[in-house]
Amino acid sequence: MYGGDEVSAIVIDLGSHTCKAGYAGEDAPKAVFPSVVGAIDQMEVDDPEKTENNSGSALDAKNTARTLDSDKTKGKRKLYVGSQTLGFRRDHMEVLSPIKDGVVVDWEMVDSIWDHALRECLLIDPQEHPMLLAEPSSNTQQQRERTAELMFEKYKVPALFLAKNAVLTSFASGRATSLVVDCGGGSTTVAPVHDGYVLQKAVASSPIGGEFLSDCLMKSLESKGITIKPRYSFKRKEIRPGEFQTVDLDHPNTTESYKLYSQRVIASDIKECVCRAPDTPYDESAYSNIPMTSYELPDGQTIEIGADRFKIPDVLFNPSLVQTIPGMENYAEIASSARGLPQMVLESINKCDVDIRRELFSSILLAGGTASMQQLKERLEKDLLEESPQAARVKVLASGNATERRFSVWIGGSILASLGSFQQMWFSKSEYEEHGAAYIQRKCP
Amino acid sequence: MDAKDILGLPKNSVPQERKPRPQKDSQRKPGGISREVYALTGGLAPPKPAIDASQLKKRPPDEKITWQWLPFTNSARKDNLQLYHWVRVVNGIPPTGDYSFAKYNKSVDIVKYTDEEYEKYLTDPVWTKEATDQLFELCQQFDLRFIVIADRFPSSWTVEELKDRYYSVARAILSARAPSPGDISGHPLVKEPYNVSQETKRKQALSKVLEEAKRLTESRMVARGGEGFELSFPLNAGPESAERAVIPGDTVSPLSNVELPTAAVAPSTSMLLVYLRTYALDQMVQAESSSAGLRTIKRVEQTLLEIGVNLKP
Repeated sequence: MYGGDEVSAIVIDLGSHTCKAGYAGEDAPKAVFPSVVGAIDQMEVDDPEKTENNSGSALDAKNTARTLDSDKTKGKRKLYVGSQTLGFRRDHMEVLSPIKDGVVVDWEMVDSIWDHALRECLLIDPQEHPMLLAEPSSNTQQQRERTAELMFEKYKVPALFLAKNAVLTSFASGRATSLVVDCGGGSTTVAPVHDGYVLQKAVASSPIGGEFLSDCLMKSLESKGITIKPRYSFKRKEIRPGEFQTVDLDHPNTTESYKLYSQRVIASDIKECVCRAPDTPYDESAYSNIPMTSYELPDGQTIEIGADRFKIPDVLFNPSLVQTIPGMENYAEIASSARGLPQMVLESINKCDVDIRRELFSSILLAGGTASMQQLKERLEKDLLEESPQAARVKVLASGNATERRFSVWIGGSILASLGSFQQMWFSKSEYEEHGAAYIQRKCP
Repeated sequence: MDAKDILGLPKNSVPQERKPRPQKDSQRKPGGISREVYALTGGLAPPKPAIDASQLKKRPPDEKITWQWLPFTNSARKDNLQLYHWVRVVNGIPPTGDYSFAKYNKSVDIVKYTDEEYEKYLTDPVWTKEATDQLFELCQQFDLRFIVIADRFPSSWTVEELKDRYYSVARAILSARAPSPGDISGHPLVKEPYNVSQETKRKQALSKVLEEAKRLTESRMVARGGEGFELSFPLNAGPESAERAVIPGDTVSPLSNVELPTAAVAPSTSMLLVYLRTYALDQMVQAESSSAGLRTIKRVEQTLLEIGVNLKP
C-alpha cells in the first residue's frame, strides 16, 4: 500500500448505537455489535464478594463488576455484552446504554464493551497492539483523560490515539477539508473539518438520530393499533406443513427496558426497509392517499405502512413534525429546540471563517447509519440549494455503498492508523507515564 | 499519445512504433487476407518486446528473502516507542537506516522570542504576554493554520487579529535581531507586511457577497410571485454602473430582474458601491413589484428610453 505501514493497530469506534472494532488496514470492522449492555443487578447485601472470572462459552459471556467509586451502592452487577448475549432473554435484565447525549456516563459499561470487543470478538491481547479510538467531535477534556487512563492502566496498550469522528470520516473520503454530517443512532452532528482539524466552535448537534426516528415509528404504529411483539414473547408452532400458528409466551420477569430494546430492533428494521426521505417537506394532505407498503413482522402479522414512510424521515428536516405523532408529546421540548438538518448545516458553515465557506459548501459528506436512508442525500442537496448563497456551489457527497456510509468513521480510522507518516503521532505509554493523561490534549488535537 | 499531445510532452516512443509496424506490413503480404485472420492461423509472431522479460525475474540466486515481524524505532518520535512491522530481511540481515517515513515529519519554523526581547520590542496594549505566548504555542502546534488556531484559542479573537499579532511580532523580532536593516529588507515579512484593515474589509465584502446572493434569489422569487409573470430585462450591475448615482427615492427605477453581479468577483473597492446599489435596487424591486402592473412597466420602460438610460449596460 503506497504510504502505508502496518503496525497491526486496532481501531475501535464506540458509537451511540453500535460499536465497531477491527484491525487497521482492513476495509470493514470485524466486530460490530450494539453498544448497549444488559445488566442484572445482583441484589447482594453488605459484604463485598470476591470477583469471579467465568470463562464460559461465547454464548454466555459474563463480566463481573468492580465495586469501586460509585456513588450508589450497586452491589455486584453481571454485564452482558454483544448481540448474541443480548438476544437471549433473561429475567430482570435491564438494557442500559453507557452513553447519554454523546457523553459517557458509565465507564464500567464502556470497559465491558471494550473487553468484549478485544478479548472475545477480535481475540487479541491489547498489550501488543496500539489502539486508535474514535471520539465524538465535541468531547470534553475530562472524558479524554478518563479514556486514556482506562486504556493505559487496565489494558496496558503500548500506544493510543484519540481521533475525532468527523476527521476520520473526512479522511475516509480522501479529503482534508469538508463538512461532515454524521447522522448516527443517538444524535446528528454537523462538524466542519479544515486541514484535518475539527473547528470546534462551529460544531452543531441535535439529539434527533436514528433511534429517535425508530421511536417515532413505533409510537406511530401503536397509535394505529399495531403492537410490535418482541421476538421473545411468542413462539411459532407449525400446525400443518407451511402453516404457522403464533403462541404467546408470557415472561413476567422481563424488564421494560428489555422489551423496549427488542421492539426497537424490529422497528429499526422496518424503518430501514420501508422509510424514504420525501422530496418535499411532508404535508399531511399530500400524503394521505399514498399507496401502502406491506411489511411482515416476525410474528407473522403483516402491517401496512403508508404516510409514515415519508413522515418519519422528514422529522430530520423538520423536527416540529414530532408533535403531530401521538405518543411523542414528552419529546416535544427536544423537538422544539432542535433544528432541522439543512439549518444545522448552514449554521455550522456560517460560524466558520469566510474564506473556507465555499470549500465547505462544495464538500459536504454524509456519514452514519441513518444517512443510508434512501433519497436523503438528494433531499438534503435540494434543501441546501434553496437556502445557500448562490456564489457557492453546493455538493453533498456520500459513498454509494451503504456499508461504507455506516462505517465511514471506522474506515477513516483504519486508513489513518496504517499510514507510515502517522506512526510518529501515537501517544505512547512512556509519554503517558511521564506527562500524565492531560498530555493527551497536546498529542491528539 | 493524445495525452502527450495535450501536455506538449516530447514523443519519444516514435522510433519504437516504427520498428514493429514495417515488420507487420511486410508479413501481411501473403494471401491478401486481413491481419486478424492471418493471426488466427498462428502466422504472425508478436513483435519483440523492448525489455527482456527474463531479466526482470532474475534475482541474485544466493539471496534468501524472509519476512519478519520486527520492532522499529522512528526518529520522528521523541520517546522510544517501539512498534512492530513486517520487514523484508535479506540473508538474515535486517535493513538498516531510519524509518522510511520519518522524513515526512516536517514542521514550520516559528519565531521564538525570549522574555527580554518581549519586554523590549513586543509589548502591546491589547495583547498580554500570556496571550502572546499561548498564541505562539498554538502556532507551533498547528503549523500556522490560523483558522484552526482561531478556533482553539480560548478567547474569541478573529483570524485577522491573530495573524496581525503573529506577523507583527515576527517582523519586530526579525528587525531587532538583524545586524542592519538592509539585510532583511528582502524578507517577505518586511517587504509585504500583513495589512489587517485590508483583510478585514475583504472578508466583510466576501461575506456580504455570500449573504447577498441568497437575498437576491429570495427577492427574485418574491418579485416573480408578486407580479405573476416573467420579467425579461436583466440588468447586469457591472462595475461601470457603480459610477451612477444611487437614486433611492426615484420612482423611475428600472423595474427589472436583477441578476447576481458577476463582477462582484472583482476585488476592488467599487465592489462596495456595487452591492450597495444592487441592495438598493433590491429594496426598490421589492417595494414596487407588488403594486406594478403591466402597463406601468411599459410606461416606465418608455420613460427610461427617453432619458437614455441603458437597460443593458
